[in-house]
Amino acid sequence: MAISFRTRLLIIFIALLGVVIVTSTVAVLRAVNQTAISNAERELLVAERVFDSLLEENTRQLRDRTALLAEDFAFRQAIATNEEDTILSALGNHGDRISADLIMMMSPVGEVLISTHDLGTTQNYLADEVLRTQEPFSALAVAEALPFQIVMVPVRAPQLIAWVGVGFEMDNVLINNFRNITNTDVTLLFRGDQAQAANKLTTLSAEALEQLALGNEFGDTVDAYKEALQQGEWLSREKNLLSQDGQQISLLLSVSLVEAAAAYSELQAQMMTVAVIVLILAAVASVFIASSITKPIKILVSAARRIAKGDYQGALELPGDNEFNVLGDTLTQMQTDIRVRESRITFQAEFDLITGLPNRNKMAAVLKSRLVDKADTPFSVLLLKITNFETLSDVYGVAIMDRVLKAASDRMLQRLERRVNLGLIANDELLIYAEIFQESEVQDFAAHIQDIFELPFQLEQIELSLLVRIGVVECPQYANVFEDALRRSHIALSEARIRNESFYSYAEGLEDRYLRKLIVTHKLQEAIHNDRFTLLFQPQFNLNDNRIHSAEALIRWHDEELGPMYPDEFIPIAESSGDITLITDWVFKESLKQLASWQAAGFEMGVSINLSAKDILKDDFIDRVIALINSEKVQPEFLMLEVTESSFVEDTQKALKNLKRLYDSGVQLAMDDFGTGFSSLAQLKVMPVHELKIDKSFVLNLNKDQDDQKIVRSTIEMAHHLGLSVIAEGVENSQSLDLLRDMKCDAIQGYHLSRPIKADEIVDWMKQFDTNQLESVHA
Amino acid sequence: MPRVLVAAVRAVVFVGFATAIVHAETLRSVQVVDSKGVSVESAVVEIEAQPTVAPTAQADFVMDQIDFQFSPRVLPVPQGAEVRFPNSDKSRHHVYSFSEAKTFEIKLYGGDEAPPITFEQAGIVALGCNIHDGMSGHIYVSSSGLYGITNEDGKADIPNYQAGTENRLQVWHADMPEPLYLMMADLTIDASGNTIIRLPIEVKNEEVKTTGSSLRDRLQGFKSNGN
Repeated sequence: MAISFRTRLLIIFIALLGVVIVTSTVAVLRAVNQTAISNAERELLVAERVFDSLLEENTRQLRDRTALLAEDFAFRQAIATNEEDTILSALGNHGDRISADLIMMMSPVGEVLISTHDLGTTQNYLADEVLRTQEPFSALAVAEALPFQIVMVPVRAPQLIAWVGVGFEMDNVLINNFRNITNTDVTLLFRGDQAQAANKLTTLSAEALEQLALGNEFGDTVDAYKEALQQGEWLSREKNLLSQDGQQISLLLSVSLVEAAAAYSELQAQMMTVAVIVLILAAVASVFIASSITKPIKILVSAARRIAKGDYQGALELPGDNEFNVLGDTLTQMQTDIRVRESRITFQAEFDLITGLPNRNKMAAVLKSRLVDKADTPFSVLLLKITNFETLSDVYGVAIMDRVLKAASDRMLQRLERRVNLGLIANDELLIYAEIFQESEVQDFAAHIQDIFELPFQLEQIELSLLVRIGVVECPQYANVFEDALRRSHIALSEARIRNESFYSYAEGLEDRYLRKLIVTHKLQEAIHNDRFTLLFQPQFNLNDNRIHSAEALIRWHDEELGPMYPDEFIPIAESSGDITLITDWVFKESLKQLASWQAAGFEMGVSINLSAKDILKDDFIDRVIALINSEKVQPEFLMLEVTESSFVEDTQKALKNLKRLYDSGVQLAMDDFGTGFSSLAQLKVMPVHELKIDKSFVLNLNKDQDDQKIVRSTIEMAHHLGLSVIAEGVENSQSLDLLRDMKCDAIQGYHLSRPIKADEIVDWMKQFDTNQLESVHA
Repeated sequence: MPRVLVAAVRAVVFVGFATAIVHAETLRSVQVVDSKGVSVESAVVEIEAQPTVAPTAQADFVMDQIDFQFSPRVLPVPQGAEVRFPNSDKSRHHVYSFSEAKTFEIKLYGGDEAPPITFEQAGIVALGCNIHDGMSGHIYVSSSGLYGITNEDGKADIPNYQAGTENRLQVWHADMPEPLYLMMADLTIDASGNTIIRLPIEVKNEEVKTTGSSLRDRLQGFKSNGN
């Protein structure tokens, strides 16, 4: 588990404080303990001196009292009577008077005359002293197993008549008194002579000491006692008071170490309390300190997390003025920078940098939300393509075009309504979402856009006109996702282009057709490469010669998936894909092969091949045809090339030039589908062709339609006047044939003569053809 | 003197409780009790009146010393009586008195060697022994000669007397610093001629302090052992 910075800081603080406090407390406690012991020792030393002086003082008082006694006249009188009973009663009386515990009288020569106690060996000592001195003296003694202070005083009347000895027992009163003065426990160990066991007087009441056996060996007893005291945590001090002739008195002063320590126990308790309180306070302080240190870190961490999550709005508030604030400011700056950068990136991701218009992504998003927001309200998506953008770009360069684009978008924004969404989805493509769907509205709107682009754009010295074409899709009817809208508006745009219109609205099925076109285009490629085409030949009958003089090569394509395909559909596709010339080449090759076979079979008939407008504009194709003619593999009079009027729309000059070259090479040329295109008689005049092919639309109902008859008749006449022969296609009955014959039409083609025939069947058909067949039909 | 008055007043008040007017002539005996009603022995009762019979002046008054104590402890005597001080102990005694009524000293003596002492002046004479501090005795010298001393029941018989006009009665005990004075007229005397007098003291009756000394006993023991 990770320990937070704050916790770690706390642990360090508290541990450090704990160590300091515990160490100092232990040190103080130890010092206190040491002080207690040394104080106790000092106490004992003092107590001993006090005991000494107390004993001395006591002795002095006793001596004074005894001296007063000895000086009492009646007492001396009584002693002087020398009567034993009187002396005895007087001694007793006077001893009582001074509360003596022992009284005795000694002769001037040291003989004990009378005594309350057996003095044992002490009397020897006293006797010695009595002989030695004339002054009062005192001594310690153990008499009858009790310790005494004895004072010896001479009795003079006026000569020395006796010594009176008065003894005071060293009893519990004495030692308790002493204990009260010094606060030190007192133990007296004593014995009268070597035969006696040691006795004791003590202020102690410890059981261990009570039970201590008092042995005969005095020194050992004292030692044992000291030992026991030590065991019982007593500090003791021994002093021998009397050691004479087997008599022993030892003083043991003792203080309880427990009590000595107890004197300090309150101090110790206070110390401990203070230590605990300090520790607690320190801990609390540490919490605050740690908090104050970690708080900014916490704030920074949460701010960093917030920023990491992508929230750049929050403010970073740090108290104080320190490194953390610098860090915080940096973080705030970072946050601001990121926010700015991100909004820039977002802008770049959603808007075009040059025009400031929403880009494709943004428009996709806008459309999506529009579709969701008002799902039931239809609206229009307009795809606006600047058709001459590429061309202009080639001329003026990208920089200028960027400015033009910018100017165009500005103008649009200025002139379009607010409720319109405008976006740039490609360099030359703008997308508009308009809240309109009625066809008329859409038309008006498209016209309005065209109007916007009506005026040229003025850039310094350059004046540029932009041409636009518009594809429209109504949403959500025809598109409920952006991709569909974009694709279908493109389809509509293509359709507009194909139709050469400025705008086109996507209609039902348009995409299917479009798709089929795509499929066909794809399949066509396959068919070209794999020779999937077949040629049919439809014979042409020359009315002047009454014979089959030629056959038109008609291409057919049967696709396994698409079924039978007709040139009307796939030739335009081939033209737009550029594959048409490959097809034409193939048709040429096959047709010439057939022509050769027919010639070989003895039929003098030519072949008629359709050329695409694209073919005519291709110089190399024209070169190949001329080369073919020149190679003399084909006799040009048997080769008829059919061209349509639309071939001249795209590049009339070039088309005419190439046609002229073919014409010059001797190849027969026919104007196909005459009457359906934008035929110009002036053009016809200069057109280098040999023949006009009247479109079947005028011929199919010729026998019934008077108007058609008039057109066909005048066309034939006009052609003839221009030196052109005329062939009518779509002849399906003998009446039409008769009419055409009457009109001096030169040749016919149609079901009445023959359907298109397979290449390998045409020779057989020719063999069994009978001119009368036409007539019999007629008949 | 104030103390005497106080005592007198107290006694008057005391007696007043049991008041009944009785003729003083009928008083035959006095019962003395202490404040707790315990009989007081060796209390001297004296009446200040005229004796009907003249006191026997030549009676033998003896203050003996037996076993280191005066015997009797209290000896009432009429004014002018001679008292002998025989010593029955083996030890000598040194009897003395510093009392106003009689100051005297009989130095260390034994047996009957001391001459009798005459007590001419009425009053209380406290006796001591110079070498035996525990010895204490009293001689009560009566001026009227009409006195009695209570027995162990606290009762003292009063000799016949003739009452005067202002007759007083005084009671004294060794524990009292001054005698107690009472007016005869205030006394309540019962049919048998007895009156109860309550002293304003508490008497330790049971024992008259034995002056036994442990030291002396021990010395005696030493002596007996033949040393």
